[in-house]
Formats: sequence, C-alpha cells, structure tokens
Amino acid sequence: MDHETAIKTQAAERYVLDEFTPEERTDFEDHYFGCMACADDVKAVSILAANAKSVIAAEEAHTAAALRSPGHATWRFSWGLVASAALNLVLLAGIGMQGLRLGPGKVPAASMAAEFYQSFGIPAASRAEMKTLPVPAGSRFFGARFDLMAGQHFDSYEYQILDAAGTPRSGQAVNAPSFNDTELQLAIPVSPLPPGEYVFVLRGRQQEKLVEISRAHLSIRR
Amino acid sequence: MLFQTFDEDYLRRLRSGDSQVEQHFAKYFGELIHLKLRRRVRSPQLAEDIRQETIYRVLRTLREKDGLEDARKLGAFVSGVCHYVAVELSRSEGRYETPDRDFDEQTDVAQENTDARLISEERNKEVRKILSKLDDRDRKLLRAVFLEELGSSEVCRRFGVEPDYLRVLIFRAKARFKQAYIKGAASA
Repeated sequence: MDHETAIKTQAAERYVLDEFTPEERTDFEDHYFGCMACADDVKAVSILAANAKSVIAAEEAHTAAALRSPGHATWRFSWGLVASAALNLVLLAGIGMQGLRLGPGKVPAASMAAEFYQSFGIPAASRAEMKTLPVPAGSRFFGARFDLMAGQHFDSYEYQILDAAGTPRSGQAVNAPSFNDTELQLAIPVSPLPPGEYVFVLRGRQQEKLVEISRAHLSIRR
Repeated sequence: MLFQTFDEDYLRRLRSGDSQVEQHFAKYFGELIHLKLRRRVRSPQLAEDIRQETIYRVLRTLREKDGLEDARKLGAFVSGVCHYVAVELSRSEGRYETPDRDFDEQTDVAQENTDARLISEERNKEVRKILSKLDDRDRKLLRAVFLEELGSSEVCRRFGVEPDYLRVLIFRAKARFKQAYIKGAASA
C-alpha cells in the first residue's frame, strides 16, 4: 500500500475499526511502519479510541453510581421493579373492574386518574425493517397490540426494552389473560425510562419454549 | 534529534551502534509495535515482551553481514519481525492464537488493559470536549465502536448507518483531536 492509497481509503480509520482482511491489514502495517505520516494517523486514532473508551466508561459508571445513590429511583431491571410494576397492572385491572361495578359517579377518591395513551399495532417478528413506535413525551405507558396466529397459545408473555447497546433496561413477565381472544393489548410502562431510542421485544412462552412475537424500535420522545 | 525518514544514513548509524539513533529506533518502533498489538494482545506483559524481542531481533539482523540493505524497507521489516515474534511468544505462553488474526484473545485478569499507555488525564479532557459536541446518535456510535468494541458492520446494521458515515465520524473526531492536541502541545 502506498501513502496516497492509505489517505484515499481512510486506512487509519479502517484499521482501528478492524475493517481490513488479514492480508490488507498486514499490507497497511508494513506501510505505516515505514511512513511517519500514516503512523501519526494510526497513533492519533488509537489514542482517541483508548481515551474515548475510558471517558465513556467513566461517565457511565458515574451515572450508574448516581442512580444507585439513596433518594434516586433506579430504573434498571430488577425483581423489585417487576413486582411493583406487576402490582400496578393488578391495581389498574382492579380499579377498572371496580369502576365498572360502581358505575359512573361512584369512583373512589384514591383511584388512578384516567388518561389517554398511545397504542400501536406491533408487527409480527420478521426479517423486514423494524417499525418505529414513537412514544410521546411524558407517557407513563404505551399499548402494544398484537395478534395471535390461528391455534397459537401462550401461557405467559415476556417483554424487554433494550437500549442501543442491547442492554435490558426494563422488562416483565405477564401471565396470559383469562379471556380467550386472538387480539391482545398489553400496557407497557415506560415512565422509568429516560427519553431515547430503544428496542422493544415481545416474546410468548409456552412451557419452556420462548417464541419472539414482535421486535420494534421504540422512540421515547423528549 | 528528529528523524524524518529512514534512509541509508539512519540504517548505517543503527548498524554501527549510534546510541542516539538506537534510542530513536527503540522508542519510535516500540510505540508502533504497541499500536499493532493493541487489539490483538490483551496482556500488557506479553505486548512488552514482544516489543523487546522484536527490537532485539531487528538490531541483531541489521548487524549481520547480509542483513537488511534497503533502508526504505526498514518499517515493513520491523512489522514482519514483530508478527513472527508475536506468533512465537503467544504459542510459547500457550495463548490462543490463529494464523491470521488475534495473537492472544484471552484477557489477563491480573492487568487492566494494553490501552493504559495511551490514556492520560490531558487526553481524556480533550476527548471529553470532542464527545460533548457530538449529537446523541454519533456518541452512541462511538460508544459501540470504542467501548463495546463491536465490529463496524454490526454497528452500522444496529444504527442503520453506512460504513462511510462511521469512518468519516472517526476521521473528523481524529482531526479535531489532533488539532486540539497539537495546539495544547504548542502552548505548553
């Protein structure tokens, strides 16, 4: 490889991104070991990479420590969160039932305020491009509507919300509803999550078998 | 003393044991050897052993009667010797090694990482400034590349960007870093 080719092809960036084949990499290494300008470029990108890694890791450790500190609510996946969220679902269902029994004008004072929420028909799992679910700012949850295929039945459902790095930020397992319907809607709590881009994955469980039902981009707006 | 090229005079002085040239050679190529090994050798101790052995073998070969004659090939020669030494030492230490890829894929738990020599508080500060000027997506892209060490094809697929976009992002960050760093060094 000559210097001109190295510059034209952004070889230093490719090298640090590990985009070269073994032969190309050896070729570029042979070049930059003898070319001070390219060696300087490789050094600069490597220093940038090493320091960016250390800065980002330190910032994330700092944020995580702040989230764990007393008085700051944690939003990472935890059994406590699952239990609390599950209880919320039960309360929501209970309040709904109570509202129906009491009828209009007889809702207890402590009941949850009614609110509108965004609901999406989530696409069936496929290799096609993922649909984006734009959740408005300030939403406490969104609705995920999905259809079961003929003859399909699950004992329970599990969802996960993953961040850009693929780390689970939220998730729960919910028993299948008692009613028998092929169109279901699940209220997914999102209020603990900061605005940003996520991936929502919904799976159904039948005995030990987990089946992916849907996967979509989730965009929580600011 | 600054050396701009590796010419016949440089090679002659290296062969004759000129201590100034020897020092430059060991420092300059020592750094390049560490850069070459950066993502392939996880153990700093192994990387250091490879560096020392490479420098020793190159100097020994240069002083032999039929050693390297063309000064323009010095860099490629050092790189080649480094490759063979890395394969050899990795094997002798029982490290995992494949012929065309990583010499050592095991993380040595007794050490932090081979990047330690590239990291400093001053460099951290400059990089922090550069990162703070990026939008959220570009920052996440760099996070995936540098922190998670994901392959660029995986990063591009995950974020829906073209490989060119990623390279240009890193190219620009590198240019800003070089500029800031040179400016800082000049004012120091």
